[in-house]
Amino acid sequence: MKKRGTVLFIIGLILIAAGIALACFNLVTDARAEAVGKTIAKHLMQQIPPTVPALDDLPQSSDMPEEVEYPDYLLDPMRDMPTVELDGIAYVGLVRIPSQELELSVLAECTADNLKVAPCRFSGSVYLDNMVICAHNYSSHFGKMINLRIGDAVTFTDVEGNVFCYSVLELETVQPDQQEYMQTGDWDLTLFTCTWGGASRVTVRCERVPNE
Amino acid sequence: MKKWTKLFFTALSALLLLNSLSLQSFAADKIDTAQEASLTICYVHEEQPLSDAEFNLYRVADVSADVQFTVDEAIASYPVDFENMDEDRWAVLANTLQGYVEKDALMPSASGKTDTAGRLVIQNLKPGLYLVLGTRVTVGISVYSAVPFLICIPSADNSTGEWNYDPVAYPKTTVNEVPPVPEKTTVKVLMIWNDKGSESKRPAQISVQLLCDGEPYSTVTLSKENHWSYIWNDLDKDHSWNVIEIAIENYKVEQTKDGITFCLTNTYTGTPPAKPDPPHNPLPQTGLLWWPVPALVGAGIMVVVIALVLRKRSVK
Repeated sequence: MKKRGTVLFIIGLILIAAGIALACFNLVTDARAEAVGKTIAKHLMQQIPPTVPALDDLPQSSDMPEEVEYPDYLLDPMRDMPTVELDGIAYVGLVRIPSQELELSVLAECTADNLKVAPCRFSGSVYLDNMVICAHNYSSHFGKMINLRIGDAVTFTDVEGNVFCYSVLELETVQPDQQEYMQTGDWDLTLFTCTWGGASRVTVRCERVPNE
Repeated sequence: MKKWTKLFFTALSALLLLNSLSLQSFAADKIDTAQEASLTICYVHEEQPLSDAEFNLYRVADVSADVQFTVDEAIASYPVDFENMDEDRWAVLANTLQGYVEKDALMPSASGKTDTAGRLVIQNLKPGLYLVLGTRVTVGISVYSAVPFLICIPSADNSTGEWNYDPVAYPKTTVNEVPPVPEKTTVKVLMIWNDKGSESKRPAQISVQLLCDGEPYSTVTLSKENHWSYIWNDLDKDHSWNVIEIAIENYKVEQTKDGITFCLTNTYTGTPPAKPDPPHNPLPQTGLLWWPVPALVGAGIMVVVIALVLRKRSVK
């Protein structure tokens, strides 16, 4: 009986130690992601030209002055989003959530490795008002996104310096197999990350608003 | 050499913009291709006649008696699309052709200058489709430029239902002031791809020429690296600037201008591949594994408690 109790005691300690180890691993990963994210965002900002408020539409041709340079995304909204490469990885811009003091670079492609670095463009284009961005639920990425409120501001700056402003319209939970639902609908911008348990996706839907 | 019939009706639509003809009751006979025709150009800006302006006519296509068009061999070699034309695309086609015609210094079929009343009559024209290009003319401090246009001769006269072998055209005009000192200007080119599903067919890079008064001035290479665009700064504003691309296989080009930007839209002419079914992958896993932490710790504590109870009982 005593020997059995000792074995169980050791097993219990191992389980507790495993839990603590996993928590430490998560905290270290989170801290590392925060440090890497800040460095990348800083470097990316240096690559982006001075920001300009994005326009909603081209003026009518009759009102179009001859000597004006219109942004490429208005002349060709279907264009691929331009990218800037840092350390061989392509970035499409920066997403900012002022209420959470977040400023994160956004990678052009969504892969498991890229997600460890920064948020990724999951689908769509900012020029077509259908972009979907996903990120890990690190506290320095989208981990606190569930605390966003309706009306909170979100901005996205592309690598050409065009700033697109959004307002949070809705928060919802989406299941992992609802890929089509995630990407369709009238939302101009969608952000998502895993719930704490990892079984669902916390999803923030945004609408485009005029630049301040 | 291409033949196309639909062009006829849209050519008339283009003409409609120029001389207010309507197509609705058009019911003309066959075209007499042997009959000589003329074109009268009235070049007037806000009731002010623009004299001494030179206009060149380039023959784009022959027309047959039963209104079949055959594109001129030199024109047919350019990477432009004559199919599925509509009213808007005629102006784009005229703009696009202008660059190639000027760059290759094609000989005009006819030319002349406007008189003091801003009027020019060009006679002895063979029936066909013509591209009309005007040169810039300076009056006082203003520089007038005629917008290029395409015109079908003869054209349909709606009032009589007959072919009009002597149509009258009123070119659209743009006007800029002559600066007291030579000013600089900026020209930008942006490549637009209209090839959804066939992106793999795009060339990795493409050459674009900047033309100064129709002469090659600079050649640049556009690619994904420069986001398919380029800007030329400090260009003399006194000259006429245009942009053309070097032809690429399986693509047709259209040129439009918005502000300082020449947009070259390349449309894929090959057969697009079958649309693949959208993937049904689940959404990516975007979470740290937090849920096992309380589970492990909780289970560990329970096991330790059980172990302590067992040990206590064994001591008793």
